Amino acid sequence: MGNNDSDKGMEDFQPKGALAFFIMMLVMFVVIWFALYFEILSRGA
Amino acid sequence: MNSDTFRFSKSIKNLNSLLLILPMVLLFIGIYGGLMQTMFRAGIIQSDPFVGGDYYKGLTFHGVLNAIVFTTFFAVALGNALIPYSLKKHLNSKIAWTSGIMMLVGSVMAAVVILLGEATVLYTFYPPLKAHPLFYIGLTLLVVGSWLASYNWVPMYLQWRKENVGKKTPLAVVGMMTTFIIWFIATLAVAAEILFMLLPWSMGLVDEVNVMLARTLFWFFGHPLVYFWLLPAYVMYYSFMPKIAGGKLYSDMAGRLVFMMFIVFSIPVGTHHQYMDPAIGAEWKLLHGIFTFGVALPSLITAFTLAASLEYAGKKRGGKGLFGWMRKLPYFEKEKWFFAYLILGLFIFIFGGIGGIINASYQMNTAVHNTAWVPGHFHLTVAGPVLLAFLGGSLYLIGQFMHKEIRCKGWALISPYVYTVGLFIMSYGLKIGGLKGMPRRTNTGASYANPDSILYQQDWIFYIDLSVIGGVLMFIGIIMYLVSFFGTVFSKSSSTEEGAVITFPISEPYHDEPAKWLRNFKPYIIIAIILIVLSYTPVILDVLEATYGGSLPYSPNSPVPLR
Repeated sequence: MGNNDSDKGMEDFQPKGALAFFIMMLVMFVVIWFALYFEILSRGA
Repeated sequence: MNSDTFRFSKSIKNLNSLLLILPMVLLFIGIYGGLMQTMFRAGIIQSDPFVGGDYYKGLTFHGVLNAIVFTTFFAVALGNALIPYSLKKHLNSKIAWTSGIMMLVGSVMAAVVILLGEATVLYTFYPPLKAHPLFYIGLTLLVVGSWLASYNWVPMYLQWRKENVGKKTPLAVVGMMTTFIIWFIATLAVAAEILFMLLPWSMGLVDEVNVMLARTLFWFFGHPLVYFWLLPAYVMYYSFMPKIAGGKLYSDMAGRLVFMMFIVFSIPVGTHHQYMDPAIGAEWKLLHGIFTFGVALPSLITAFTLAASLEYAGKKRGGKGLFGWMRKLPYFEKEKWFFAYLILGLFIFIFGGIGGIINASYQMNTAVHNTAWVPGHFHLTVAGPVLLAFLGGSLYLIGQFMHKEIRCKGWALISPYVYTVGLFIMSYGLKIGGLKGMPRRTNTGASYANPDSILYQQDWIFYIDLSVIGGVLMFIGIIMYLVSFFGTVFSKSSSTEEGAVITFPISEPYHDEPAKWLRNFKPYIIIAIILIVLSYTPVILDVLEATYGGSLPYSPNSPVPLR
């Protein structure tokens, strides 16, 4: 099932895309968390 | 046979096939129960058309068979396959069979008692709801059988360490051992609850049971149970997925660190399920809440490491730019059908993860507690990444052990996509309905969704309907999977081998750090025990001080005690 192609051209791989994805995911987490937080605040109003 | 394969004896081949096939039948019964749950809640049915019985009986067999029985069998089957394969050592087949038979007898016993309507106690089996003693005995046999399976791996692991001084234990073995270390510690509490509290009470040897103590012991077990579900999926994410995608695991050390962090933080967190319970001080609930945020860290590390591994694979396959690699992954390659089960599970887990952080946030929990939000959340974890990884793993393992080509690969490939669409629709309905106040564990079809009831809630109906649509799609996805699974089981094998020659797509690491500080379980187990003692001693003391007497047993059908 795996792929055994060579790693040519991948010696200097830096996971910049993964880092960008991770930051975007954290931002989304914060947005969703605060959406719920403000939902609670609105109930107390 | 080369170094990438391992030969299992005929006995272990037969045992592991059994450990995969029988739970798949029970899983189907449980999933049917799940579909009926959505129908009950929408008011489409008032009684189960095939199994008979009411909403709560269906909810019990849906939860027990899917969340406890199927998951435990798969974790054992995966360990029985991966550990001998990775260490190149043979299982003791007598112990393996004894454990398998205990698990099978226990599971069938519990399932029969539930289906007869004698154990309508839901998967949390909270007292004062009382089940038939055979339900508790069945669960005990399942758990003890799984302990025995994992004890079978310990001598193999120790022997391998002795023969390979200075070498790193294969990551897959570290993951499986971690899974069962957590399982063993966590199940000690539920074993105490069952053996010393629920079983004697159910048999009538004692009249009353301390409900709060039982709930606290349950959640000592109940939250680490989530990691017992998740970790075999993590093993497959770390060990298989990068290779299947055509790449490498970005960091071997990250995987090892994640598993050790789970040992430390998995258990002293259970009281976050009891934020609304009396008898436990708020300061201890807060402490468990803080540890719960600690246990989110290994999942965040996993998110980055796996994304980096997939970026490596995607770029190797020609992906350009910051996100171009995402388009190059083998989402729809028939021969890499397993990838779909793993990547979709990860995608679902992004949303399951943030839901878990919301649930664990102390005050925020008040907004979602005991609402339909909660099943909406945990279907995005246990019925998302866990179920999909276990289904993919089961199909892969059955093909390997029975030496058969996977049948209906197209169906096997499309099934997780259909299921995932259904899951998102259902969970959205449950979560938003929950935020509007829709309760969990309530037959809304007989009340809030019934226009003839004074409790009728017009604004919940859209969300209830969404959960039915989602539930039907999920069921269709599972049927497609089962066609492939049982098509494979009942197909002819071209092999004349007596045993089974197994291979796994084990990923090579891109960064293979020495990580000597992550090579021994002992310090992490000791830290875990210290944290458990520090976090649970005051909780148990609070419960014992605040409660007195106990409760007589009840059934869900009557407000009058059973004796």
